[in-house]
Amino acid sequence: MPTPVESNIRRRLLFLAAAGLFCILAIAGWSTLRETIGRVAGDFLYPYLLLSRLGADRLSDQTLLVFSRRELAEQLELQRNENRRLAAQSAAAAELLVENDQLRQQLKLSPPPSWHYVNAEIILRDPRFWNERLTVDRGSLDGITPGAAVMTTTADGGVILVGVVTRVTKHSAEVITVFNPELRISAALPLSNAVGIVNPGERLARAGKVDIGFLPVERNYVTEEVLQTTGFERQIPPGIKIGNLASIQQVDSLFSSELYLRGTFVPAVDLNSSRFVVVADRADRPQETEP
Amino acid sequence: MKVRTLQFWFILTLLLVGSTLELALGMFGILLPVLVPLIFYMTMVYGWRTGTIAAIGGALWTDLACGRAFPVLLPVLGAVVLTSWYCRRRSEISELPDMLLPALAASGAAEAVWLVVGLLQAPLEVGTVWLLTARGIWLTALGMVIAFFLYYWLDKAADRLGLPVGVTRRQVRPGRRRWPQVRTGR
Repeated sequence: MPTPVESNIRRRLLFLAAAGLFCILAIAGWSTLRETIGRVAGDFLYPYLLLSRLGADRLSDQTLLVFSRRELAEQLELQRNENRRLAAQSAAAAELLVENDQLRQQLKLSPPPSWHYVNAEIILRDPRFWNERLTVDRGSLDGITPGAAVMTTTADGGVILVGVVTRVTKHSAEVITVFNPELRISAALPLSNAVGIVNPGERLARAGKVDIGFLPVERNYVTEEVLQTTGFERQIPPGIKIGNLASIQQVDSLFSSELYLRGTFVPAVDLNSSRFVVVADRADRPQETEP
Repeated sequence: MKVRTLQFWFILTLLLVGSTLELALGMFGILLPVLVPLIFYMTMVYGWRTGTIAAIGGALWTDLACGRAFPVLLPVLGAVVLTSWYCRRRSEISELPDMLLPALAASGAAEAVWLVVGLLQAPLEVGTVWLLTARGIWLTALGMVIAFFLYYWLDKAADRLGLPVGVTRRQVRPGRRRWPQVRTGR
């Protein structure tokens, strides 16, 4: 039977352990849940946040009756200013609406000669490998084949590479993205007149950045320069933007025996906001005949 | 219906629902461990053989649905079966809170395997390692909480269906089918 002093110490130790555990969970949970909860909470809390505003408006309507003429005139002036501000906002929203329509039109991109595009929607994402894999709702019945390039559009109408189709079923296709170390394709740097290989290693070098290797040594590389597809892969159209060069290995060309350089680039695609993609396929591909 | 047949359909339904729920939530970026607590429950209640078969089925189904190149869920759920089997031998779940520690161990084992997989692929930099570790700690705690509620509800459902239950106190109720007592290490 523990004495009161021992029991007190035990209770305090238990409290300290619980507090420590809570701190660890809070710190660990913060970085884990920040993104997910932010994504969900925005839409969930919206109606409840609006309630206070509705209540305030109702109260304001009721108190309007007790104001004097002078006070009402001031309120009117304030309201006019508010209306002007809202009108400006509305005009900006209308512009966004037009931009949205333009983006939808851009999805009906005109493919280069001998290519055709299939619009697809992302239907499945792997929660553990969020940036590396996705599944789209178009399959072999829509003419998609393994190796086909998957692209999306930017706000300014540019086309950027998302990844490559790896496996196709009749109604869906699996895509590995440029963030996936399994995806190895050639990439051209038109400014430096060089060609390298994306993902030469087994893992990403840095979070949010992808490796590029086998770059020739005797070139003047410029950071932020654009990486594009080369067209060497039969099922990937040339000239599609992949990303921007972030860093390049520095070597002394006089004393180094390096034949190739490595670097990193930031992929242009933002997979968090991508919902629709375009799958490219060659129009001159020999058709499979039914036996 | 025979108990074995009913048990088979019960397990199959749980696996399909659990896997679909995990995938459906994953589509919105919500990482909720459902399969791990399910496999933990199955191993604790039905034994390691049933747990292993359920783990293999659930792992392959989910990995294939996600299109993963390597069936990474196999070692993850394998670790859960091992830990649950060890806990089943060492402890008896006579009251519901007794399962909290085994659930924490099983959930922790699963997240430890995920952490190793993550570290093998992710860039070796402090920020990424911390992010993976933090996610592991958080999901371990979350897995334990989910396992607690699953244990409670699944036990209720199993009790109604006349299937074996996890909390041994319930097994001696009159009018219910007796199930062999959980072996203890004591």
